[in-house]
Amino acid sequence: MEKRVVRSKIYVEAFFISLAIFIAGLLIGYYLEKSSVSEIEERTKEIERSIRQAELEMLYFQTINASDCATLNEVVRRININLDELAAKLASFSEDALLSKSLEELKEKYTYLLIKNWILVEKMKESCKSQIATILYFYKRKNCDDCLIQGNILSALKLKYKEKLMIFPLDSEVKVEMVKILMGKYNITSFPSIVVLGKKYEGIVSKEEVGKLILQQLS
Amino acid sequence: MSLIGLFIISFIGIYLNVWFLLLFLENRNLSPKIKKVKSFPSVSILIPAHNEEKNISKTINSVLNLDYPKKKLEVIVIDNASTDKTSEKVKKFKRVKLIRIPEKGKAIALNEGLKRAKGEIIGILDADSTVTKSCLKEMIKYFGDEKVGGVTNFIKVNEKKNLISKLQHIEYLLSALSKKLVSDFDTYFILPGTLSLVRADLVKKIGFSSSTLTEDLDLGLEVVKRGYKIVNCIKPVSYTKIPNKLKTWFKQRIRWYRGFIQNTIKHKDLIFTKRFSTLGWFLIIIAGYFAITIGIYVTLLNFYSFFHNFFVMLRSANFLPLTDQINLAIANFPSSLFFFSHPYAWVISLIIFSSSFAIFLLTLKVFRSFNLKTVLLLPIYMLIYYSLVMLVWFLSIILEAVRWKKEW
Repeated sequence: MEKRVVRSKIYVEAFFISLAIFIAGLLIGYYLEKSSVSEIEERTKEIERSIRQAELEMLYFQTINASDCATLNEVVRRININLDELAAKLASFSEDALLSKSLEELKEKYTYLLIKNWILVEKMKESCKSQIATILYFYKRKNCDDCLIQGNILSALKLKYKEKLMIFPLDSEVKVEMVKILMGKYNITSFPSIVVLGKKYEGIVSKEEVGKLILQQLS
Repeated sequence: MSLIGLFIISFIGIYLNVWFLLLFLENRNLSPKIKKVKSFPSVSILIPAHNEEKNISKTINSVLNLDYPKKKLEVIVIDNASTDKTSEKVKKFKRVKLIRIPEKGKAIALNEGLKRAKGEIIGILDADSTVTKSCLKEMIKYFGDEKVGGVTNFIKVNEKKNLISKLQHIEYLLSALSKKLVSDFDTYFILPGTLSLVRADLVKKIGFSSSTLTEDLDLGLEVVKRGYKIVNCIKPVSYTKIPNKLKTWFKQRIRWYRGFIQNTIKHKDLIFTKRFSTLGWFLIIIAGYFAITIGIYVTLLNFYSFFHNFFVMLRSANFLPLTDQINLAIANFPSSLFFFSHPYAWVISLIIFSSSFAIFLLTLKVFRSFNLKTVLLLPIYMLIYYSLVMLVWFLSIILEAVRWKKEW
């Protein structure tokens, strides 16, 4: 009996066609990620520049003992808005990204800038008596549903208080030495935790309670 | 979920679909080349019936209406243990021979009929299936090849009233393409009761067996084992009555899939014969299933993260009023739309589903069943019906593993 079999070449052809489809898909994904990453890189550079500017202004005001708080306030406010946008962009990436390495670097840079801005704001609050509430928010990226909830609560408050509230979300797993130092200083052991006026609050802090802590700073 | 694992599994899914598509493109011609029969052999059609008073007349009418020399066609109805008026209905047809036996069981009835059959070719027809006029004449041609032991046809469903029967209609259409391809490579192995023809000497040697739940598969495999091939042809059409309720569908499927497993075990030696040693026939059968299974699996992963985030949102309602959450979602639009944490998984399911969709559309086109309603049902078919089928397969394997005795 003449036996018909599946032509063995089909297995090979199918392999290469699938490979082509697959690689095309990967390239598109890579290209899309790459363009987002370069956009984030661009924004990071911008923020870096404005922070340098603000630091210089701060130094100038402190040195000659003149205070132009309005200008400084405006600069810090703009930096904070930019940082928030950057945070949203970074968060839109999943953990499973092709460019996870360069994303990790960007996250480190972002955290670094965030802490710098925090120091700036604290200094400004002291010297200008600015009406700004600040919250340090420590969280963990993986397996922390409570962190998602606390993040939502803080974002909702941010919508309410807008420029009067500045939140500094610090990812405990990012390799920035300063995060470790802050965690040590405030004795952060569990996540989520927030620090307001130098005091640590563990677990999910409700919207009302955080609201009270904000008003305490604004009065 | 690691990204690499996701990539590997999706590559397999894409590969299966591409492979199937290539194979189909190479074997586009629907009717295989055949040596034609010179004269018409005598045919005995066996119709086992157990409480089939509702369907039997229609079935017999379709058989008597067959375009085939009357002298060469014998029709035998075996009424096994009917408690209704099946026999009375059959008696009205003078050309039909009626045998009544007290025992239940399709295999027993068929063996009883086989004893009485005089034809050179035996036809097996369920009492709830009907045949089209040209069916027998088209099928008989294939016996011109001495190596053909059995011939089967293109099964369609007789009603498409509700969703479950419409979905089965699609399933029968789609599986017809796989069957055709398997048959093209001489590795087809089922003789269903929608008029299957077998050489009488062959089937008399083998006999019908009740040792598995699906005697049609058992017989088919026995025929193949003896070195004959079974041809599945697309041109002749038969109609089968399908379950139109989920419960009866479920029972039927459990029986089929358990029967499949039982027969695989019973005829395991056949898998290792030279004829079945090529990967081809196996891949044809699983290609459609498997690619979609992967698609569903990846989609489920997506939905897992979706629901996970959804529950987190519900939990956060304890701490944050819903109005705040809505405001937040509006403020974060459009990124709040993407609750899902695996954008790649979405792309992958999209690729797999669209390639499966392409195969399905092609099938519908080949069988001239292309209409908008069917096309619109395809997504439901792929996502929901396949999930159900997989569930039943899973259950069947478990039931077989624990040797569950109860008849479904």
